[in-house]
Amino acid sequence: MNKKTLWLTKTSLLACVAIVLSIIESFFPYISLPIPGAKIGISNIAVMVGASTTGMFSALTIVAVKACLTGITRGVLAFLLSLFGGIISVLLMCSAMKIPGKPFGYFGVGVIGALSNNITQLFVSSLLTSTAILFYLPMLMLISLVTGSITGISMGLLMPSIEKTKFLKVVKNS
Amino acid sequence: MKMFEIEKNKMKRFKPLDFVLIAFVIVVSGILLFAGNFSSDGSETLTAVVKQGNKVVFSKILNEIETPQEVRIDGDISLVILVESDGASVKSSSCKDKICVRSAKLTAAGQSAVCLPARVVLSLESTKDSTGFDAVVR
Repeated sequence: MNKKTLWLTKTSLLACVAIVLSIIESFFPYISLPIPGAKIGISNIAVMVGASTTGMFSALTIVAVKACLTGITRGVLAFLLSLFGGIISVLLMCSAMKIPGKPFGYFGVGVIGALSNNITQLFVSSLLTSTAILFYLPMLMLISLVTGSITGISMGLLMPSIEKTKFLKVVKNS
Repeated sequence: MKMFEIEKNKMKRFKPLDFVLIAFVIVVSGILLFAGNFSSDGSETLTAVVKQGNKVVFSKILNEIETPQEVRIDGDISLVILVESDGASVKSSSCKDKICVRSAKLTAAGQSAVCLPARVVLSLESTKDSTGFDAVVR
């Protein structure tokens, strides 16, 4: 099969999964946390699968598609937050996975993704509003640890089965 | 753990460095939390400040409030902010996600509730002495 077509198919499939996961997540009951708007970010699982199977550009595309949908449903500010948070977290997760010797497991990669996503979103929103919200940073970091562990562990449970499928074969050296 | 080591260059679920990372993050956020709490010792006077964009639209010293007061912030999205003698909170908002309404009541200096769609920030600031500034006009 044409490689480009295959890449596009995989990427769009994972983007769909990411969007569906984020819709499912919006049905979750609101857990009362001191941080407003904290989410588990289960759609990050699809982004991580994309990053480790089809590669970094695929993951960046997934993030951009997801950000566009967020922009349509929740406005320009949510679009910017989602886009910047997603791009930075994909770049950091991919570099963590590409370090020779693989010092990080899926657990660590999930934590890195959640941390970088949340911290970037906080900085972008502090640029857009006021620096007062940087007060949330330490609490947000602790919550990212929990949410990142959830996505990282689910990723660790998911990847062995994904590696067995022919469709989403893990790209070598990625 | 042997069953996960089928291939040498394969990603694993857990690696020691993961836990180093987690310990590092816990330490850093602990330090930041401690530094944040240390800077406000509770004895200073608190001022509730509401900013819309970069403009301060409302500011009130909390100690001077006797009965809870509601403040309307009008704009594309209108908010009602409740100011009491012991803290401030966002009572209602016409935005969709209501994140600011769900945030708990602010009681300590440095805390803030943000309504991102309306670009309104409610924050508590500490004023070291009451003769200092009570509003910033830009």
